[in-house]
Amino acid sequence: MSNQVLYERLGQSTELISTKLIELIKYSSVDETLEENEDKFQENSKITSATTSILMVNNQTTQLIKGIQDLLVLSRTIREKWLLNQIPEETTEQEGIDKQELDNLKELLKKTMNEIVGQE
Amino acid sequence: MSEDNFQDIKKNGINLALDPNLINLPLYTSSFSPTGKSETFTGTANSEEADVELKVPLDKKLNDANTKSINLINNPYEVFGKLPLAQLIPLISQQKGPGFTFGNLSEDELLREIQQEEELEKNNNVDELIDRFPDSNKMDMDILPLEDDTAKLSDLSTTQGADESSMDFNSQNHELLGDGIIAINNDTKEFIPQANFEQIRKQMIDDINLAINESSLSLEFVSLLLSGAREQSALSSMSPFLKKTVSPGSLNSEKIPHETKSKKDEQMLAILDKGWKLKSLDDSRQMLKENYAALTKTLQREHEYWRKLATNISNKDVIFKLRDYSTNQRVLGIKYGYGDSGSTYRYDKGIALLRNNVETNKLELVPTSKGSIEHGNELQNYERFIRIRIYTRLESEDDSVLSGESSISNEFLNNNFDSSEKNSDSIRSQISRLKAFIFEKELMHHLKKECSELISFGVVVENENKIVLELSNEKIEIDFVSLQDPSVVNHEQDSPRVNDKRANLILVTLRMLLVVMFKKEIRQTMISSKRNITKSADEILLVKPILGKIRHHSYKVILRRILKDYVLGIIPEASIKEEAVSASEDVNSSEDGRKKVALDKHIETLTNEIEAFEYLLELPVSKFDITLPMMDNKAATINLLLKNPNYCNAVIDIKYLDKNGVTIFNTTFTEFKEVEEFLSFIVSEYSKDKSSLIKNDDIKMEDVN
Repeated sequence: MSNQVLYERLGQSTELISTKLIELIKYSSVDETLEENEDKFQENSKITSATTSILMVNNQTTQLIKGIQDLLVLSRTIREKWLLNQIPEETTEQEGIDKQELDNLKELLKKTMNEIVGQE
Repeated sequence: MSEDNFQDIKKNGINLALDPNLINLPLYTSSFSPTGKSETFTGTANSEEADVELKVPLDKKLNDANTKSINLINNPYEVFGKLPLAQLIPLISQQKGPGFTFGNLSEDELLREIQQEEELEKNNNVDELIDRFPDSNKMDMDILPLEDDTAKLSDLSTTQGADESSMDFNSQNHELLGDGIIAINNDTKEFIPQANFEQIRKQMIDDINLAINESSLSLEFVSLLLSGAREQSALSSMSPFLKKTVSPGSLNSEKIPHETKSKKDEQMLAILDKGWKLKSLDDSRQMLKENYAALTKTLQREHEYWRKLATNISNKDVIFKLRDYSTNQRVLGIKYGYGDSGSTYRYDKGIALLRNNVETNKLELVPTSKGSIEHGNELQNYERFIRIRIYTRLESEDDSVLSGESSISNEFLNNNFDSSEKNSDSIRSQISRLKAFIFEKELMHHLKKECSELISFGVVVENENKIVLELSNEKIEIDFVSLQDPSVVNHEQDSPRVNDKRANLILVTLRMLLVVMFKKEIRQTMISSKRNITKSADEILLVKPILGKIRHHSYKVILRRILKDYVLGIIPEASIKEEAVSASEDVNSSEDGRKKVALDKHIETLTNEIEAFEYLLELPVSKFDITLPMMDNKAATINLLLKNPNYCNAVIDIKYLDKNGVTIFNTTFTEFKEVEEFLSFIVSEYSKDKSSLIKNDDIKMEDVN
């Protein structure tokens, strides 16, 4: 996933969460004056609004949770991206073994072989 | 009313100025079919525009009225003659208007009126039309040219059965309707062009058709609705298409009485509503709470996991995603093997899963090669290392004694990571441990492969985990032992032995040689980008360099003895010079050339590093120069070159040069027995030469004497 997509996803998720929270708060109102449908079908609307608001509250809650879970997944994706796309730093310092050390190594190897062979 | 007048009336019919609509005549609306009449309408009323829906019934009424009035005129007596006076007189009064008394009605006046009305009669309808529908007429006038209008008017008039010519009538019309016409003329000063007219006409037809369609649709709807109750009567008015596609009675409606709720009910409902709402809110709260708890837990775990990863994993590690087949989860894998460092070992890729242990909440490394089944047996099989043991053969007995053993490197031993190790180092130590094990594994793999071809030189692969190198006076064992092996477990208390150091050196050298192999492989890939994954045994140089050196040494010992026995012992004045010939000088000369090719500094570094091991890798060569002195400071020489072309075997080049430096013999032997024989032959040749020289000298001396 590209960075752009991740950004977009992050924006979408946060937006979703905030809107769902707002809606949840709106639906959680018990005060009837806020309810809009006050026409002749009041009785019907009351029943329906009661049921729909239960449904809606449930729906918003699940969506809110879903949104947060999405954020978690997103954070994990970002972390994985960080971990898997690390580029090793250029180690300019370590130039390998220098000539002197190589010569020493040669000497040591000679000694070692003599030791192993049992010469002298 | 006189008899004559009555007759007259009877003959001509009563001229009624009555609006036929005033009389409750039955209208023809019921029998009116839109489809049936539409064409006649457009024909007669084609010049009319404006609101079609309004006009259609009006025009129709007009037409009806016309036809009706004709009927009335034709036979008015049928209606009026039979009326009793009590009804007729009010009718006449009504007709004459207010201020008229029946008593004032005279015959003369009536005759005059009749005459007047006869004249007026022709335009009766036009008058009515203009009076009653001034709006619609005006609209008509707006559009129509005057000629059309009058033509229409005349048409209407002629339907009433007037006998006069239309031309005359037209002129009459103009006079009579002077006012109206002037008004019309004022309104429609401009004439509408033909094209425009056509367009308007088309529009109107469209509108009418739309109206017809709408009305037929509504009729269909009503019919269908009706078909539920009275199927037969509804079917008669349904269109064939509807009958075919929709079954009758499929549409229904019912009126449900609306019951108003009582105050108590309403209150109950409100309470119920609030109750449900509160319950749903409570549910929601519960749900959020539970999820919050669960998610926080997950988040913490995640956080911990990543924190550990961040501290333990550097950007030099090779990390990738893979699937853990035991749990079927996606996990992170870390490559600890030497695959990227030139290793060609393919049996263990050196990949471990980074798994978070849920119980201990610690990061674990699980090598994939170990598998998910962590039996002790498996583990034992995995944690193995190479141990070198040297046995010295006892000369007195036919037995050998352990004289040296390589020690266990510390990195194999600290297997206490899962219990006491502080977790910051645990992953790194686990990685280095796994690295060590996989290195050993690969080393053993290559050793076995290499040694399988060295059986003729006393190298035996005894079993999967053991290689034995038989030497003249000792035996070197390469063991691939498990950490859990009893000999390893009880190793600590062993006392130091003579050859411990040698064993360790051998082991270190073997490891270094594997590294050199890696380096060569990397250089190869860097140069040619081709990789030969399956290494042939010839390319593996681990035991061979070491064994070669040892064997070369023993060959030298043998050769020295032979030389001593067959040359130096016989010719006491001969001297011997021995030196090891190193190929590195040749390498050095060619090194410059190679360096020029190596443009990449990494390749250069690798080359340098590999060359440091040249002494180990080169084929050991020893040179023996024996000088056999002759007369006059001249000497014959025997040059022996001991070579090990494949590290282990011995090839001896023998060159014999006479006193003048001319090569007499130059042969190659692989058997020491032959060398012995050949040397004795050379020595005898030399002795012959020398004795002949002495003889010659003697002869010369004699000659001189």
